[in-house]
Amino acid sequence: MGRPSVGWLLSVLCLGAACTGEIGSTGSPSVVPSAMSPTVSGTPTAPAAVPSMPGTTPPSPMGPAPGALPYAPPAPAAAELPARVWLLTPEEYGLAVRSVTGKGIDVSDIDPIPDTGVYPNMSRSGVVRVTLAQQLAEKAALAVDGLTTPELTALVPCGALERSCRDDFVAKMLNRAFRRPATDEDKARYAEIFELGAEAEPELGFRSVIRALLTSPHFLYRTEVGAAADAQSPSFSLTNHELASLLSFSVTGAPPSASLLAAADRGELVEPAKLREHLQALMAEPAASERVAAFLVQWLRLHRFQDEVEKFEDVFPGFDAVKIAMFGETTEFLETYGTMKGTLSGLLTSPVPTTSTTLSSFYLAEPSTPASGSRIGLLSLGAVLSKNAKQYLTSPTLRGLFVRDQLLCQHISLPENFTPPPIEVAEAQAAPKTTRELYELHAKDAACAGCHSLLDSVGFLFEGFDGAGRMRTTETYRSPTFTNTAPTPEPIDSTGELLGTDVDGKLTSVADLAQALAKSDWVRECVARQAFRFYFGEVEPDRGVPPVVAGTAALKGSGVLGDLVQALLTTESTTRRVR
Amino acid sequence: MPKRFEVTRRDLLRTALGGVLLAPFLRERELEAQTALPKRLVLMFNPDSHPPEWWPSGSGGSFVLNEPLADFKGLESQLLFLRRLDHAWTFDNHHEAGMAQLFTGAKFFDEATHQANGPSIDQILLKESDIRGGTPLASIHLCAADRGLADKRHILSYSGPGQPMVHVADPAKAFKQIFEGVTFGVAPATPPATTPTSPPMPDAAAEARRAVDQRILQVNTAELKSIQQLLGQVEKEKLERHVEALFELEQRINAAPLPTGGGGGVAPPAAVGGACEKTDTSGFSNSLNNATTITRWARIQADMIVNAFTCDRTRVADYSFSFSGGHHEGLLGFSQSWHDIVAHVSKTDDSVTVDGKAMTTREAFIKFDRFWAGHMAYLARRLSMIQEGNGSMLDNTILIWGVESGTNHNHSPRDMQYLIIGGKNLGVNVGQYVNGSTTQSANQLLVSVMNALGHPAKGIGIEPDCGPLPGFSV
Repeated sequence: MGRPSVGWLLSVLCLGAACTGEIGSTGSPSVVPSAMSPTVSGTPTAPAAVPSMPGTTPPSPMGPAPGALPYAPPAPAAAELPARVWLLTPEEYGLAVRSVTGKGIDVSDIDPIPDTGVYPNMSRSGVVRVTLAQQLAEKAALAVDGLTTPELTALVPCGALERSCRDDFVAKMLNRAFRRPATDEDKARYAEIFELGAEAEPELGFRSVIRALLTSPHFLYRTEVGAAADAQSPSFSLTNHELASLLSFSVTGAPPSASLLAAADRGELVEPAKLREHLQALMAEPAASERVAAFLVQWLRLHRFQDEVEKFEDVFPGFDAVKIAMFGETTEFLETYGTMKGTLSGLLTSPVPTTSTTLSSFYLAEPSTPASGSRIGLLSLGAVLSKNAKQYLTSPTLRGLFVRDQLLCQHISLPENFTPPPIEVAEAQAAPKTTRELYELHAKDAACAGCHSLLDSVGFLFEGFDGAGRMRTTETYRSPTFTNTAPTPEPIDSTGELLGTDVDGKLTSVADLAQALAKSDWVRECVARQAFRFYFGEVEPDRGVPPVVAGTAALKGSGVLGDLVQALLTTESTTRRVR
Repeated sequence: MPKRFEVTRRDLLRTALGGVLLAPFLRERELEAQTALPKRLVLMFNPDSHPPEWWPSGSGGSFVLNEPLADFKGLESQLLFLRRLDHAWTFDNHHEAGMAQLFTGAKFFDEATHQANGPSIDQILLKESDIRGGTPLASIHLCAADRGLADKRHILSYSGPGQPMVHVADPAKAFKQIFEGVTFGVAPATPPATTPTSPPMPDAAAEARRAVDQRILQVNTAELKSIQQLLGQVEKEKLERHVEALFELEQRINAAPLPTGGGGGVAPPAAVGGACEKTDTSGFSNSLNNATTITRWARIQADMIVNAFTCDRTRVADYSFSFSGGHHEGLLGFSQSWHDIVAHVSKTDDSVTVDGKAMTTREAFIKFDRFWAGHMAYLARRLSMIQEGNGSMLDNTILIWGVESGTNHNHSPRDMQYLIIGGKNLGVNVGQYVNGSTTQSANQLLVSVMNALGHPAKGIGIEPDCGPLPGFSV
């Protein structure tokens, strides 16, 4: 079990007898840009081109392949992003509690933000329902009850648990918890809570205030709603303190430090140059590098690798035992090449070291593994290869889809009211000797070829790696629904073709593919879009939004990941919102 | 279905004026509630559709269950089969479209998530009917043979567009959420005929703490409301769920007795349909491929639903197995993917080996299907054995069991396999196999279920006026 998210969709099926061949923007909430012929002039909405509408004449499988699609920058889009609130993740919540009380709490039993399949922490997914509200109330109570009287006293500015210390205490705690200066209304509300508790005993007043503010929406959410004075303005700027939270949580996963809040108090963050300075300081923190690594893992869709990826033990014996080491290979690679100073090109084309002897043994257990073979770039990581494969085979379609979706932001869009036919019978009739032979059936069916020419031609480049990520030079086709009566190892053909991009061409391996993608502006833009989704917690409303444009430019310039992060977070879209 | 931010009775109740206006109505409802039996709903799901043999032989009131539903034998009088129901739209191979509209009738919310663009019938009923009664939990969502993920392939219930209700997979966690504070095995909380002594006074600290708790919820709610004013519609709705959650917590605080220095915990109400028992959560393993442990997992979750009903913790549940397109290689002695190798090719006579025995893919599909069906039957049977009023708890409960693909995993929206179990006292035409030749919309079935449970809906999802399903009601 645990097929990758689209594994069942793309088993050994024709991806679409009626596939439109349209490619659009993955995750675009409302718009899937229409297919665009490469011969049509104008600004494309996505790097894509294969015309094939249901009911119309599909492209001949043997006909001319679509040519290269030069990169065309997007038309500029509005900078303002929607006003919103963004619920803290359990981990962010735990750090925020510590910043208020000085003591950490266990957050492992708080329900996580539901992962709806885009990135795990999209702002729209963070909803407080009754179960979570109950958990947060209990956590607040535990956090408060966990404070000893001396610890509680230390939080009181006047150093004593006396009612006369109420106002200073309330103001100080509100400032900390809300990550902004408390308003008079805030102070009055929490002073009232103080009095209700203090009626029973003075200490309960202090504890009640902390308990209350730890369940306040001003604490639980990062707000992007602007200043009270702008409440009636449809378009507005974030406050200094909202900017402090946005930058700090997005870049380091933690609430803003006292120094950053002090800068917000001074009004510095609305000044672009100062904002850049503070952002650079945040990016220098170790936590910022950890966030970059988290982004890369999520971009590669590997954040649930351990739970999701399983293989048939009889086909890939020992796979389950090496999953941890295989994921370790990914993290080790990212620690080397996926840092703030790393580059996109480095991620795509640097050699992958395999330092785990367990993993090396597993890789070498494939008898046709070449002695001198090496892995080049993140596309040849064992985790990436095994995740984008079937349990018992590779899957050129899944691997092609991964490249299209995650590296080119090209999303195959199928029409409604269409059911692809199963082709298990065709598999039996064709008696394939290799996986490639099986998948080449797609090209022989005109209705399938429209989409699969874009997917399989890329996926074939990965055929030098089996379904568990091991290098191979031969394959003996093996399928649960087909018995090969005279199995003999067949040589691997990993030639393929990249189509519908600005770096189109015939290629011979995944290493070739990596080199080509490293030169693609469509890839640079896509990585900028992916990073936008991660750091802003929302799908870009348009590929022309300033952070995506700036991020693309950064990757086209230095290509350095830190520059990408800085470019993303220093445009007008960081500061401007619309209700 | 109300429009967004239409004022509902619950909204009105939250205001002081609303409390005054609705007071007579509420008193009437309380009186009615003392005599009426609860109505309940369970949504149920297993993946990959059913083989054709899932449909019974015969028709009308004289039908015979076949192998896939053999574990329902003896419950025929509680079943309503409705053939020729189509989903109203489809996409790709219908797996995701089928999941999205299974209980919502809606299309996708967006291209990114493929979640449903509207609420499911359970959540509509909670908003538009009295199904909840005074129960502390609006609904519970439990799964087995699954990890409880939130993507489109796992979700049955939605509170609104793109707002999934996520399953709890871990029984211990579910137990804590559902039964926190409940004391099992104590006498029902009905007042004694005489009061021999004055009740002990609650202590001052407890009173103060409760007052603080209530005030905190009010302050947090006011804060949410003030933030809502600064947001667009989608974000406002997101925070409205938080407002509703705080409202529920406040109701719980108000309903809970103050501690008096002894005991503690909430005594269950008079058991309306059997004793309020503690669910045994022992023996849980989260393997997705072991039939023995999945069976134990399923029974724990089913028992949890039954006990949640008998303890009147909730009246709305969903009970889900695996996920759309689940593979489960290794399950029942079959080492490969049930989805790919069996459900996909059950139309052929291919031979597969299951648990050491050679059989056709169709025979294997039937075996696989019966495995899931047996767990559904267990829940139905348990509910049928609990006396409630003049009948059973099942008579007052509608179980609606759906799958995400048409008959025989045909990857189409045609001839969807829904089964209604129970609901005899709610007017459901149980004991029938309505094997008509006219195709109708599955959304009509969803409307009929809502009608039977007290909401006069005329349509759902993309069919706001589809009306109810002929043959559903007696």
